[in-house]
Amino acid sequence: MEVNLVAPDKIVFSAKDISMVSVPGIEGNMGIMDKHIPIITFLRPGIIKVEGKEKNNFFVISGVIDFKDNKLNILSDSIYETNKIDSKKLTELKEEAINKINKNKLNDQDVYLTSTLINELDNFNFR
Amino acid sequence: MPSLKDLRNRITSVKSTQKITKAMKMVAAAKLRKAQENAEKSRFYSEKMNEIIINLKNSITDMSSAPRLLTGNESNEKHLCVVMTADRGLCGGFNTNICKKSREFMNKLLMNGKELKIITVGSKSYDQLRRIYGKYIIEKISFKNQKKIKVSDANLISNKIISMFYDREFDICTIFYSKFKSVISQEPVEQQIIPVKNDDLIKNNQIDLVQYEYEPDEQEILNNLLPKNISTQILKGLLENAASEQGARMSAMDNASRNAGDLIEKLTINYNRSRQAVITKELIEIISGAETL
Repeated sequence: MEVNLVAPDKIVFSAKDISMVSVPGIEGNMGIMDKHIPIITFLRPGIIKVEGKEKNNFFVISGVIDFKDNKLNILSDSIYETNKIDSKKLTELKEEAINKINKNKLNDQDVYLTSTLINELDNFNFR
Repeated sequence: MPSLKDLRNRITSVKSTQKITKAMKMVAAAKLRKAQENAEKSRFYSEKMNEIIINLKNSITDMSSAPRLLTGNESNEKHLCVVMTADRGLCGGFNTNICKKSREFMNKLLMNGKELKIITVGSKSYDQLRRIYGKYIIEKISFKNQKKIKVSDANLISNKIISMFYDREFDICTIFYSKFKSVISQEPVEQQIIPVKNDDLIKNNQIDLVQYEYEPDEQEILNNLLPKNISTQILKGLLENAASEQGARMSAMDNASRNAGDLIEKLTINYNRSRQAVITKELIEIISGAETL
């Protein structure tokens, strides 16, 4: 299947012949393989694993997945290649998340998402 | 008839103007390449986003409980126009074309007795619209001091629009910007972003509708996605604008340099002629002076 990871300002990753992509969906992790049924869903903070000839990992905070005609599009305004992310960026993201959770009156879902983000950032070990 | 010195001065001044326009053209060309790249890169994201939303809209059966950002308020009395232009001039008809397009639209609204609010993005649209529509302008936004357009800039505008919408300050929101078609052609467009308008797209069969599986349900996805979509559309507008601006400036400055070249040629011929005329006159004076002796 074809996979495109897209940020608003650029295409982060694009490849054909991908055998499987595992994504952190909002209702649980999901593995998407060839000829999956058309699906639209959200992402929670976590790691996207793209498995083709090479393995590529990406860290996302939020985004949308759209699978159709054997094409997977992941739209996200916060997507980072795991091997390009450094500890400075990590602390930056974490501070942002902590500020968000402390300052604003968030609804349950936002609280869940932000705390997942903090957890994910804590467990991030440059995979 | 201008004296030789006047002509000489004019030639130097046109020459230095030409130098400036040439330099501006070069700068615009360099910036254009980057801006064009950015605009083209962003297209994919916004197109996909739009596709998803239109698919969602069509799969919703119960329109009454759908998010208001999608279906709109029941009325269409209050309009918000977001006019996006550049912050700088000297780019041909670029800013004027966008403002013209928006003026036509606003005039139609006012004639039909609708309520109008305007947000201007970029200082040129404010300059051009304030004379006639000054009392309708509620906000002016400018990114003059910024080199690059960021996602957060678009978010700033879209958050403002969304909170205004929830306060029922307007029913329909339309944005105006210039679509980048090619270096020599930019097309001013109007695009309705609230509520989502999709009839045109489906009529042209540009988007094929697919039966999707949704997780969680459609409503929740829409609630989450619609605000993002607005910011995406605005970002797209800003980036297309940035590319169009540089393209328009490049062709305008190219024209200006060429015109300056023509002018210099004409003036030089003029200058040479009058210099020759002066020489001839002096010769005649000398000769006729010698003859009288």
